[in-house]
Amino acid sequence: MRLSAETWLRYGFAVLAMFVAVLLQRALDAHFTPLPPYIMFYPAVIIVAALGNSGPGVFSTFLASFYAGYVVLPPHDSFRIQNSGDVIGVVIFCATGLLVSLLAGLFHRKRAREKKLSAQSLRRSEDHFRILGEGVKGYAIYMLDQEGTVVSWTAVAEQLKGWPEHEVLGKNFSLFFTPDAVHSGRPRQILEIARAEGSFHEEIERVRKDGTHFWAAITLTALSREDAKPQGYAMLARDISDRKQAERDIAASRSRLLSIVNSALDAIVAVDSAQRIVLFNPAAEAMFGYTSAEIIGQPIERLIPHRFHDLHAGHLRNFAAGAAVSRSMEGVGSLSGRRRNGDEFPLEASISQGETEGGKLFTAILRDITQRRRAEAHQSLLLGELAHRVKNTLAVVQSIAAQTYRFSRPEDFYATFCGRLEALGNANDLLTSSEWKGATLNDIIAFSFAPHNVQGMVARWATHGPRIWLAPNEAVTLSLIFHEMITNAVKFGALSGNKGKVEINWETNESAVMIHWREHDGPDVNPPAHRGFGSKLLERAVRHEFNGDIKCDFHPAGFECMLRLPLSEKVKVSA
Amino acid sequence: MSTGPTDRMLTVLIVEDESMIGMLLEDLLEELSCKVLGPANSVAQSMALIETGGQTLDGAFLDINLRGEFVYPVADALLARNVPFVFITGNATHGIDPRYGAVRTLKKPFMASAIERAIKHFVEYRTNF
Repeated sequence: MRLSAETWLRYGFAVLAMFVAVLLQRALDAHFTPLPPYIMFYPAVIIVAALGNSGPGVFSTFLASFYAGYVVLPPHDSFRIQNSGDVIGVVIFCATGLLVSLLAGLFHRKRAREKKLSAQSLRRSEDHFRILGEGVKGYAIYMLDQEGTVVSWTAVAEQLKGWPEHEVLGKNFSLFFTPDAVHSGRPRQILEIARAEGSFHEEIERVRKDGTHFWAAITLTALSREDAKPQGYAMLARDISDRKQAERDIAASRSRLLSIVNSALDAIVAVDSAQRIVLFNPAAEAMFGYTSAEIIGQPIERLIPHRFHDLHAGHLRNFAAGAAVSRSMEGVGSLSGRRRNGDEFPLEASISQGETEGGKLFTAILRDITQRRRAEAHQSLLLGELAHRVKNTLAVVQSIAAQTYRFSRPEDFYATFCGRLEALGNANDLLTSSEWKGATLNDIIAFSFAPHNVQGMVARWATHGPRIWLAPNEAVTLSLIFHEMITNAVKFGALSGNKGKVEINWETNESAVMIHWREHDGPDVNPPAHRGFGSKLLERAVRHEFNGDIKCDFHPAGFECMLRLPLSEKVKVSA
Repeated sequence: MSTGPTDRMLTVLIVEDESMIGMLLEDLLEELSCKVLGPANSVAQSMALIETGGQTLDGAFLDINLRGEFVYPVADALLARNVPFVFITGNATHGIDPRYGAVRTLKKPFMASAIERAIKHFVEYRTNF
């Protein structure tokens, strides 16, 4: 049987104690009358038994008995003790020693059992902690000492953070923080908050062993006994990356949706089942003149003209009761909206309904069609105007044809008629360029000369006068008048030769514009034998169209003509 | 028809803002031996002519659209005086106020024969009343 070092130590201590007791006995014997031989052995046995347990106690008792019996008690060097009193002394000593050893043994055994129980309890509690730490899925539970050094670790923590126990024990928990957080002293701050307030909770970005980051919800609890000084901290960490990702996904999807809603050119207005506005995008703000802040929570009726309130409520009831998820409101007749300033405007709408967590939601997409309506009205006006103008022009052509036929020789008919049609066409071009708003006198004359502007003709006519504006019909008639005069000048007048010129000057007084046509340096002037359509047209047109008059003079120096056109809304001096 | 146009010259009002067309009508009517009032190119001018020469008016040609102004007040004045008239229009007939649905309409450009028919209508009207 192998004895342990501790056993050797205990028995050695017993021998040593006896040796010391003998030396003390001898020393004391020299100075005092011989003492009872056991006077030093009693305390020695008690000490050995108390410190070394029952075995050494018994051992030292017998050692002391042998020594007393063999050396101290007469006869010396023999166990045959003669004195019966001494025998009683040995027996009493032995009995006392054994008793002390027995008590010491009992005491030691009790202590050992207590120690064992305590160790077992500790082990069990550690097991519980470990089971707790490793059994609770998803939660890394570990402990830190006062300085934040990791003192316990669990498999879940390893799973979560990547560090095995042996790499992380003894390290500061700042290991788990991002470099930025470490730099700003966050780990120490957290410990201080936990110490001051008992616990600390936050959602924080953490670092794994491989350097990747993840989001964790951490709870740091200060562990303290009654004396309030923290013994360390319990850390509870949970990976919330998935939740964070989901939150980010929701936020991203929400912001995408918001950006669509906010940037939409159409107004988007959503109402809840109580008909209160819950969404009002910027286009709706622009359309209705309300800000989103002031209209949210208001009834939708605020945006609808009063007389349509019942109609609208009916439409909405029908729609809500129907199975359709969305529909255009085109079929329900023309819709109107009401702006903040009370103005009504036509709009086009489509509406959709859906269930949300907050109840039923109706979303209307609205388009202000004021502009379109205006454009449509304008277009139909233009079409009507065009039809009117085409028919009118045909009638004018008819009139020109009829009168050309009546007043010209058959061989001249075609050329004369075409010339007049051309003049009419030119007048139309001129008016088209001003969108049929009118034309200036200067432009009318220039357009009328245009067909003759060849071979230096440009230099042979000149105009001078203030800017006069004429309405479309007046402009057309005046174009025809100038066409006749120019044609006559080219055929018979100043422009028929090589040198003759035409000057057209005009001036205004308060009631009329006076246009003075003067030809000079042309061939000899001969009054025409008969007045054809040309001169008849001049007179009648001036009378009918302008309520003005015309005086022609076949002056020998050159043909002259004075045209008086009264000023009116249709003929005026323009800036 | 005991009384024809030759018995007494028919007096006819022309309301037409396009002077060339007015002239054409004027010529056509004069060829048919009518006395022409106008052409007037606005409602105001037409009303003035009706006031002064309306006593002997036998008929009228009214262009419906006088540069954006409708000729209807003139039509009403003529109805009040029991003077027959026809409309002249460049637009299709649906452009006419339904109140005057029964009134004859000449469409531009028009045939001389249509003018003649209108004159016959005026003569018949004068004969019957």
